[in-house]
Amino acid sequence: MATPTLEKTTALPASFGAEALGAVAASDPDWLKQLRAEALVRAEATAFPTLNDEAWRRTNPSRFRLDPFTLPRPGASATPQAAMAAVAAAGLPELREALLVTVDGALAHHDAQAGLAEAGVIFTDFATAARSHGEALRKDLFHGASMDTLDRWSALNAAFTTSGAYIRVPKNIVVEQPLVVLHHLQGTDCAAFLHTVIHVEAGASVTVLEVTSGTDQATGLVHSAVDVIAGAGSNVRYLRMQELGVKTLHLSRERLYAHRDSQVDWSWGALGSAMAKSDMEANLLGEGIHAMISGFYHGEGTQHLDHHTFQNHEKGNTISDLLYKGSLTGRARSVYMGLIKIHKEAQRSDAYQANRNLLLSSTARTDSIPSLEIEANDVRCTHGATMGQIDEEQLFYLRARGITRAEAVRLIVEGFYEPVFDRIGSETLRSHARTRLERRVKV
Amino acid sequence: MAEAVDISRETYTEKYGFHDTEQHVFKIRKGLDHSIVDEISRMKGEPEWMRDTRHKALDIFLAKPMPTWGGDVGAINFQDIYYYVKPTDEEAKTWEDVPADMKRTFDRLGIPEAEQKFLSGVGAQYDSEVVYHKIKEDLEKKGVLFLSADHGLKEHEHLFKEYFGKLIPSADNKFAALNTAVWSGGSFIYVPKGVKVDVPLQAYFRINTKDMGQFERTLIIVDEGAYVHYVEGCTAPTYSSDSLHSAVVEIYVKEGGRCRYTTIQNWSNNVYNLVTKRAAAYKNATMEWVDGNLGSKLTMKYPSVYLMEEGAKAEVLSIAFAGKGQHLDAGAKAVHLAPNTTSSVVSKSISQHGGRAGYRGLIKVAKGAVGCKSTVRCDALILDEESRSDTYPYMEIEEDDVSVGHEATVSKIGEEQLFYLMSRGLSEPEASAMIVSGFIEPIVKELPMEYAVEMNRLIQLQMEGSVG
Repeated sequence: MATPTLEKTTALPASFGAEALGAVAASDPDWLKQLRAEALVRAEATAFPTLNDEAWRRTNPSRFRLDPFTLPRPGASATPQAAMAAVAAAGLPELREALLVTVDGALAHHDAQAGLAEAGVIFTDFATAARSHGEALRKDLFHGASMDTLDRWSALNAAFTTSGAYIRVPKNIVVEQPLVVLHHLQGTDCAAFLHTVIHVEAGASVTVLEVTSGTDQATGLVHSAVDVIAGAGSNVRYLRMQELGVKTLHLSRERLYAHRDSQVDWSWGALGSAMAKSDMEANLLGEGIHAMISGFYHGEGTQHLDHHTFQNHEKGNTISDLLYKGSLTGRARSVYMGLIKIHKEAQRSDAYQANRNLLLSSTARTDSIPSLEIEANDVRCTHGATMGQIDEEQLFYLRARGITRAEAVRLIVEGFYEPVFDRIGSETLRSHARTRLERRVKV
Repeated sequence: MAEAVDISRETYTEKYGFHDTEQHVFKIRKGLDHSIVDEISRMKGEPEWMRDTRHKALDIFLAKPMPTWGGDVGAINFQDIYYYVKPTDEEAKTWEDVPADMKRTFDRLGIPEAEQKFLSGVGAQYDSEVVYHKIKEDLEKKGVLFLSADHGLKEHEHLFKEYFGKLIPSADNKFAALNTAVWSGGSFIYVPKGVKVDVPLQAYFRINTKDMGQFERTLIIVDEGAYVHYVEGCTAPTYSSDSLHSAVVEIYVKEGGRCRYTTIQNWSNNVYNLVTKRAAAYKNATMEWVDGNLGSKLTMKYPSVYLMEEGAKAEVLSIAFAGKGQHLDAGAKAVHLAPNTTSSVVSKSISQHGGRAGYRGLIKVAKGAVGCKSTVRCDALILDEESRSDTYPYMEIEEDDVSVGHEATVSKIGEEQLFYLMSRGLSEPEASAMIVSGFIEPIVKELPMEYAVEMNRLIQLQMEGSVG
């Protein structure tokens, strides 16, 4: 019935073939070698998305190419100085109790208090986890999904992951200090595939901050995936920040798998990169879940920020509450596509979805598509989207009190984001998010 | 007339689902190719440019892929359809001249009664062509044209050609191309400068023949400062095989003019209703779509307004009530191409007995269209656990000096509302029906009164025994 009109590209560049895979996997355990091989087969069997794919109609998929880039050289590692410079630049010097840093896709630094290991908490890099906790990692990676279910970019990630982190909190353990993961990009023409896996077991509690940052000189493409598995009755606070340099491309795959009675406070800040596309899925798999999903983004210059969110209510008596807010200056462009899906069995679901955009220049552009697909009747679903500029009356009010125009605009923009920050439950994550945004917004 | 607004699917067959024995004067062979197009054009004695337009459109139709979004159109077999069934030799000028069977059909549907009572003019299309057309004399004297599209082309070729296909070119979408290739019937309306047609003009569309496609083409031009309200209703017999209705409607509202277009779509549950409707509103003009979708197997229809010049205004009121076996993908589009233009969309959809109702819309603010305001409000009620509701609003904004907002809710009938009404002595079905009536009230109150009264009565009928 349907025939695609744009030709699909299936060929992968030669530098992303079996030989490259062998080099990446050289020191892996067998299970991971095997998984990578299956993932490469999958990647080769699928095609890159085209403009005909609904999710890619507003973000040109041909900008995300692999051929100009190469995988990180195996065994390369950044100097400790470089790692520490990255930590400082990302505003993390206060958060070093449990810190893992990768630079250009290779592990560069790892600090973890002894107390964590004693409590049975795993907080380690991807390669180490693959060797020491192989069985657990395989089950948690992509939530245990088979490689043939992945799209091409995700399959490429599975095949070529060079670094990332594995966090596992055992049953009923409460981790007080935030666990921090920083991925930094500073090299030239690097294609980095990163994967972080967080499994919080039943009744456990954790706070995680994951930052992907980079210098403005860095060029390349980062594909970063995160799987968060929130066990029954667990409590997860997760903030993901994207602060890449102006020449870098970013693809983000975010998956939440929430189980019965879990409480998840998920937030996402997109401030950097030349072009970024984030694909977030919140899967509510059991009853009694409360998922709070908050996003903030700011684009300037010619930045292009694309967000796709999916609130998937598979079970009833669940709540998902999503708010994404963004501002744009210069010729920046944002895209928001959101979908709430309530399955037939998910009676008594309560879902909320809002996208608010503040346009600060006449050359900025924003698209918003908040959608609903509801198959159960005993539900409450509300969504909304707004686009507008700064209210002149507010501006006038502030200026009448002697505040300069620039300062007044800054205050209003900051005030615009405040409802997002108010939702972030962890004080550490909230203040980090606010500080990074305020540092970025220069209007 | 009021009878035309039945949303009760149970009584549909009896009231509208009947059919006459076939009594056409000409029926083309089944299928679609260039020779069919040639024959339709030859039968109509059209100018060469129209025949060329049809052939080009057919090529576009054949080349374009089927849409992969919206509803499932995969089961339509384009070669198993009669594209042209000519009902009579000539349009009747008086009701007495309409052939007896057709007259009986339209009598049963209440058309002549409505004409006498409250309409400025009436057109009745039966299968591929209009069998009766009448406009009040005083309007005719003022220069108002209300003709079938076929006569519009014959008698006012210059005017027709100037506007035909300019707003919806053949290449716009696959079904617009199909309509352009095989169009027949529809209305042609011209309202001269400053003329206000204060009572509605109405067209009634009826499919009678089995396996038939109806492809009417409507062209409305409202000149500066003029006003017209056009109402269309549609029904068809209930057949075991599917029919296709694919219309194209183009409307031009000139400076300061106003046009309201009301549709009460009540096709039988075996009709694919795939329609393209678009209006261009010029300086300070107002375009209003009141779009009621009650019937059909699948509807894909998103009436749109292109706000071409400063101060233009768009209003869309959309209602969709989907029952068993129905998928109604309704919606609206407003494209702001000029500064200080406004649009407002209110959509209400209801689904029950496994039906699927949805809103799909677009609000676009183009570069340079500063000072635009747009609000979209969509509400959906799902009456049982078998049914489904979708909302797909698209917003594309290329200016900062704008105010665009979209809000939607999906819910069931509130327990508290039910409890409140039942504690005042109403039965549950009565209370539910009252809540549903209240839910669609903002739109129903915009319907001509005869429709509004009937709509409410039928909702009560429909709701009886369906909740609780």
